[in-house]
Amino acid sequence: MTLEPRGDQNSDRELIEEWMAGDSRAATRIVERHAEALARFAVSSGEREEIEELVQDTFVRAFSSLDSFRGESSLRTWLFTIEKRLMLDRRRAEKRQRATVPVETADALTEYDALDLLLAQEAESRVRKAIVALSPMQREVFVLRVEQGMSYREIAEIVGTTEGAARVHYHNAMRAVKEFVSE
Amino acid sequence: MNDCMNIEVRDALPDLAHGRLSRPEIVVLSEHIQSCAGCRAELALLREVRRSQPLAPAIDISRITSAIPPYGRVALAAGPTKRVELKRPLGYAILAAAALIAVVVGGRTLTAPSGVRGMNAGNPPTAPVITIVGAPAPASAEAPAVRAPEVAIARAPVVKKRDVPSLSLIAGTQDLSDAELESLLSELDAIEAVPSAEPQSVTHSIENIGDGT
Repeated sequence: MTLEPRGDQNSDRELIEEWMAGDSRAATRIVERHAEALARFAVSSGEREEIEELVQDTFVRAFSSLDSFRGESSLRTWLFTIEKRLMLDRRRAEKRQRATVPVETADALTEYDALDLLLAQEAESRVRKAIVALSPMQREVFVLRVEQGMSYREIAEIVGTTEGAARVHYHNAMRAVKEFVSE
Repeated sequence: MNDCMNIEVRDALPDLAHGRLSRPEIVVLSEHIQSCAGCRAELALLREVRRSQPLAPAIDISRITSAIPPYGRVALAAGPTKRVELKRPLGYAILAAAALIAVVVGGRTLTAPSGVRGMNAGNPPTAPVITIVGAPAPASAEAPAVRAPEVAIARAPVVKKRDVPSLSLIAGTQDLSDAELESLLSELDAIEAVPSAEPQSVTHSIENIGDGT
């Protein structure tokens, strides 16, 4: 099955060239095009705070290393890959912080669980709760596939796995969501 | 409800929901979905997932774009990091230079000949004459300087540190009385370890020159 290319792929490339030629408005158009999807992916992946900072860091890092962007994947996939790495860095930092501040560990965990529960309640949907209950890898693959409409190849690049493994994670996630919803 | 066994069709359902399929593919898929309850249910679930997406928080586009440096300045933006990294070697270099100076000065103080030290009128040496003459200078700069006089005093107990405060034969003996000077010279003559070659050779060469002229 062949997928129709996204209409914005060529435009992204053109915008990058325009930005490199000195047109700062091209950067604005790139941000406008992808910021919301990045923010949505961050929330779906479990990020709770400073979403805008995360999105901003993603763009700053991307634009700072656009010279190394070879264009083998779409700009969108590349942006998601950068954001994914930033989220991993955040989680590692949070884990270290929790490990080094034992007094606050209990509070932090309680707050985290409460936020998870709150998010699930606010979603007012068993579907949302089902997605929250997935493993981190399954959730990321499922969200990228269903909410962002990415191909398995793009997903594999973002989450750092193979295309086949991404497919397996997706179908496992779909089965888990179905079971959760039908309970 | 049983899942459809056609994995290819199920794999394409998210793409159908996102409108990423070609017209012929949509037609084929639609025909299958009409006859497959499992795929119909799965497609409905996918659409519900999309509908229930969490709202993206408000993003200030202008704030993000203002944080992005212009292309020409991207390389400059990475500059300070490199400069910061250079501070550490520079700091080490300064410390190394200070340590080297300390070692050289300290080592020179410990190993310099008595005449040389005596010429340094600004820093009167504290060790007695016999420290240099009778006892070898410490081989290592790590050896504490205060130990040298102790060794020297043990070898030449007659001369006390407070009586002869200087190593110099020029400046240090100026404060001595005639009797003290006499005593010092006699003590020096009595020390077997005093190397006689150096002063004698100087004396001889002077005498020879004098005789020749």
